Amino acid sequence: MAATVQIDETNGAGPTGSETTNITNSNMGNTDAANLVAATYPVTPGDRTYTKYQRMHVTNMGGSSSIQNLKVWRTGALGGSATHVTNAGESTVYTHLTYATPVKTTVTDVDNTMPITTAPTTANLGIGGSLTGAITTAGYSDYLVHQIVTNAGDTGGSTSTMNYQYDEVA
Amino acid sequence: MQYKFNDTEIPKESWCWEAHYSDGTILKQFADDGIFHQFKEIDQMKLALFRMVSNDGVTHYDLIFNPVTMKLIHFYVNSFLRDGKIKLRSYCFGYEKNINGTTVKNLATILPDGNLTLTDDRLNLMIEVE
Repeated sequence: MAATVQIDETNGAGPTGSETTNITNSNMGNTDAANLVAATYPVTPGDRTYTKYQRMHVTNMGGSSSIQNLKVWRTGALGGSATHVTNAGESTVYTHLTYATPVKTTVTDVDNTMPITTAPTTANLGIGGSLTGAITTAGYSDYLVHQIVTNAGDTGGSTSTMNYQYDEVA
Repeated sequence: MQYKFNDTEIPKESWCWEAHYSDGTILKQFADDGIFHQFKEIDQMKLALFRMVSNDGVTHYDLIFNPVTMKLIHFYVNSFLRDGKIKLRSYCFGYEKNINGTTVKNLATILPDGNLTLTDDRLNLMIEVE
């Protein structure tokens, strides 16, 4: 049996915000909202998108005993010289962050480069603040916080998607 | 057939394990009496063979097990690709053993298409989606 896992996103004023469950995309733009239409909220070249706060949410263990080894990465190139920054990271570069009101400015510790194309070698998103943590009852991962940083010369039109992976012991 | 774990119904997996013990008995993940068993219920000290069985009831892959030198491994790898629009599940099984003070893993992965791949490093596997 598969544990039931979904990706949830939190938006709005901290410290708790409001949660959208089982999001359908990670579109980023010039507003703080889940499942947004990027063309409706374009980012001015040189600006940052609003930060995304997303978590893996285990709603039902389904007979499994453990969820662990969480990995996130992006597929697809960004436009121009834009970068994709995150708190996710392998080993010591990972930072456990609590929820805060999303902003389109620099966020402390959201400065690692999002892995692209292939999954990272080891876990890069924590559980309970630890990359070696495990979910053993219905619950959440740590927050994945990420943001696109554009440059003045960037143009629109690129499309990327997020990928999420976890190991499950039944 | 319905399978249950702690009164919760558990849908059968595409690939299920069977633990064949040295005394001839078999513990099935999805047992014939409708009980779902967790991996941790396997008594590795009397395990002789670990079998992954396809839900076609015919195809299977076997791991000959030595309880003195091996520690059994089994888990699923779940991938949510393209913002979760594509969900894939692979079935990993194998063993680790200590060789001259170094822990060595040997893992087999049943890929979503049913093919089996052997590797000492699962990270060498890359699943590409059309």
